[in-house]
Amino acid sequence: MARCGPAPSEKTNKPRLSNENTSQAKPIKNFVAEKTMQIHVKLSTTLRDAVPHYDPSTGLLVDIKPPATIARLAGELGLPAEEIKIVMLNGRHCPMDAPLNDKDRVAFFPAVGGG
Amino acid sequence: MMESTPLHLPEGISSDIVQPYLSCHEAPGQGPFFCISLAGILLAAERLGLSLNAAMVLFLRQGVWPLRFKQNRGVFSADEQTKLLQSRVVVLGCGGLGGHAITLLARLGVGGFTVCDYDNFDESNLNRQLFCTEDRLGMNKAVIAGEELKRIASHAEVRVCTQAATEKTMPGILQDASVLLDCLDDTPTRLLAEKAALQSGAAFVHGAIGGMEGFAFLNKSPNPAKLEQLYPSAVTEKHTHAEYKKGVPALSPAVTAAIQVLLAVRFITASAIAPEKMKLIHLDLSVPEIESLII
Repeated sequence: MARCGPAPSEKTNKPRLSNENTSQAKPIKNFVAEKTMQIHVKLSTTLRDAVPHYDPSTGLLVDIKPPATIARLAGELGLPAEEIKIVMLNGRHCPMDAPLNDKDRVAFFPAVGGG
Repeated sequence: MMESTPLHLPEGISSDIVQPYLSCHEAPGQGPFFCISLAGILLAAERLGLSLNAAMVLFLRQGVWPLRFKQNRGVFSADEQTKLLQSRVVVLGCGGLGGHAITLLARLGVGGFTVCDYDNFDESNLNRQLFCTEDRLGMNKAVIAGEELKRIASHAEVRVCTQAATEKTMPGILQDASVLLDCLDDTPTRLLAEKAALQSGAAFVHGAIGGMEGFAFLNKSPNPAKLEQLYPSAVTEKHTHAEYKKGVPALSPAVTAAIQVLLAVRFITASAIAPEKMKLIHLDLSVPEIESLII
């Protein structure tokens, strides 16, 4: 089972203009003895409701045992599979069955269609 | 300063006629330049039997800036400003995204518009839609957008379409268009619009909002349609869309529309488009942050 938790907020007033924030996020729980991968996860709009106290400024750091795919990560986070429409792995559009590597960044997006 | 700065005017326009409407300005490090007011352009257009838009282009070609675009100078060259004046942008949807996009495009100097919306303003639109006011409830959004455009930019050539965008109406809507801005709120029509725009040779600029987040990308021919790759099964699941649960406050349409306009204007003014990976721009105003994702 993956362990995850919201990371503490950064104390900054500057808006971030890129996806460079992985170094700032810290897990609340990270006492896994066996070897795991650490994945930085960002959630968009409605998908945030699946993780209580999700902080959009830091995202989540998730420990997960290898080998793992994006789909397994989503499942262990309890994200509603039918609502996930776009997945980005390290800033690139990616399928759900893509394998994960340590320190990967994964962002999950639902369908957004308001105008 | 005016006497020492060379002034070139369009053929058929003497300095005696437009002198009262000219002003000379100094840009630090760039030397002086002339501007001409709207009244002067109107006079010249009448003399030459041209539209206001065409007269503005003639002045720009001589390096004389329409006064209304004085503060665009520095960001745009006279050539780029001319390209904007000679372009036509289709705005599909004149609500949250569309109202802001139309206003920004007009102020930047786009000279041709086709604004489309079959819908009327509703009280629930007052929280975010720029052209929605209490006295306009029940009025058609495209008709109001056309009126607003004329108030901002009398030189703009405006076509108003109050029909829904369908396979049948899209070719007419896209006539003469350089770019189509997708400011719609339903996915099936977005998919249709992207395919129709790419087929007609126009660039397609997607925009979508939900909660405090927004998305935008530019797609252009000969690329394949991108939306159906991103949302392959979204058509039948409208109730799961983020905007239904998270609402749409005023901020996300304003900023997302600005990004859409930026993409459209960059496409119109570019002299040569270098091939590049298509990027989905995602903005999250709850942080706030903007990121470019490769799609």
